[in-house]
Amino acid sequence: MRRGAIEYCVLALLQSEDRYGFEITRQLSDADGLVTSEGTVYPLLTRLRNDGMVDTYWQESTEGPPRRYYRITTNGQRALKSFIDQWARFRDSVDDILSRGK
Amino acid sequence: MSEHTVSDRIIEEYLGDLRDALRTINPSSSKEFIAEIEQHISEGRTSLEPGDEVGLRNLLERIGSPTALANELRETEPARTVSAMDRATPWLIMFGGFAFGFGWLVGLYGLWSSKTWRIWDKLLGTFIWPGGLLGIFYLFLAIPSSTACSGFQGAGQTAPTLTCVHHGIATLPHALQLLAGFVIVAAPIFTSFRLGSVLSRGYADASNPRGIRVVKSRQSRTSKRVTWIFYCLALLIFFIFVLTLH
Repeated sequence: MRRGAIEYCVLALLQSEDRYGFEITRQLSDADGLVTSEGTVYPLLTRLRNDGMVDTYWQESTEGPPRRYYRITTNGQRALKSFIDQWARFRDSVDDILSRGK
Repeated sequence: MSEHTVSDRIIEEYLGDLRDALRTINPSSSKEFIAEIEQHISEGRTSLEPGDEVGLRNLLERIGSPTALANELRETEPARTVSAMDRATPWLIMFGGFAFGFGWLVGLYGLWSSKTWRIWDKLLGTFIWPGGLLGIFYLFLAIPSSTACSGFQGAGQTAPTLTCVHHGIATLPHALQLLAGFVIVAAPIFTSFRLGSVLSRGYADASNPRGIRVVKSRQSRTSKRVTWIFYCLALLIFFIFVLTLH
């Protein structure tokens, strides 16, 4: 479940701007409890690309080697939107059940 | 040793371990993954002071241990399947030549169109030897020693004076002939086994639906070296054979 959710977190990060791999992994690993190691994000990025949720392009960097940027596609935006709706319902239901246990 | 070299060594060691851990993963996926990690390391290093060993070790730790990364990649990787063509390829490469050479060509197509084998295995499959075992058959037909004699019969001589030149395998000492023959015959068989062993590495089947396979004995650096020495020897002998023809 966690892995599935992380893919959508990546899409959400790309909503506002295109980002490069290192930046995406850092943002995810800085969030508490999302990923245990940064390297594990790359297979997810590859899968998102293979599924057509994101596409990539290379851009020169002033600080180091050229960077591969990830950009959300229309398909990705659609998938993210439907996930956000599902997630809200799922979270409310879980919260509801958990609060009954108190 | 300078600090810079220590950092480089730490990274090389880490990437070496990662490559080893990813041996059971589909080669094209693992190659791409390693490139991403290399990119991540160079990106992370830009914010470190040169020679900041602690910073570098922290960076690698955040990326994750090679074993953990390999496990994660196995989980996200779609199960690897082996097509009937992939299964047939090592056999076609070895014996296909006997089907009027056509089988070998089909094997060659299977080898180069498949993502299962890496470039070195594809080159080995193609060049050691063209035609597979049939190629050897022709080689031995072509190479058996020939002796060309020329001479003339002078006036008053009862027999002609002959000058003979020996060509081919018979010019080599007997023990070397045997060794050379063995190496040349063993090389394509070894190549086909090698192609087959790459094939059996981590593919999915009914008992192992995700294609996860623990490799019991990893090919050590020594055995890798022995393999390459063997192929170099086979090629060397092959060229000597070709040269003795002329």
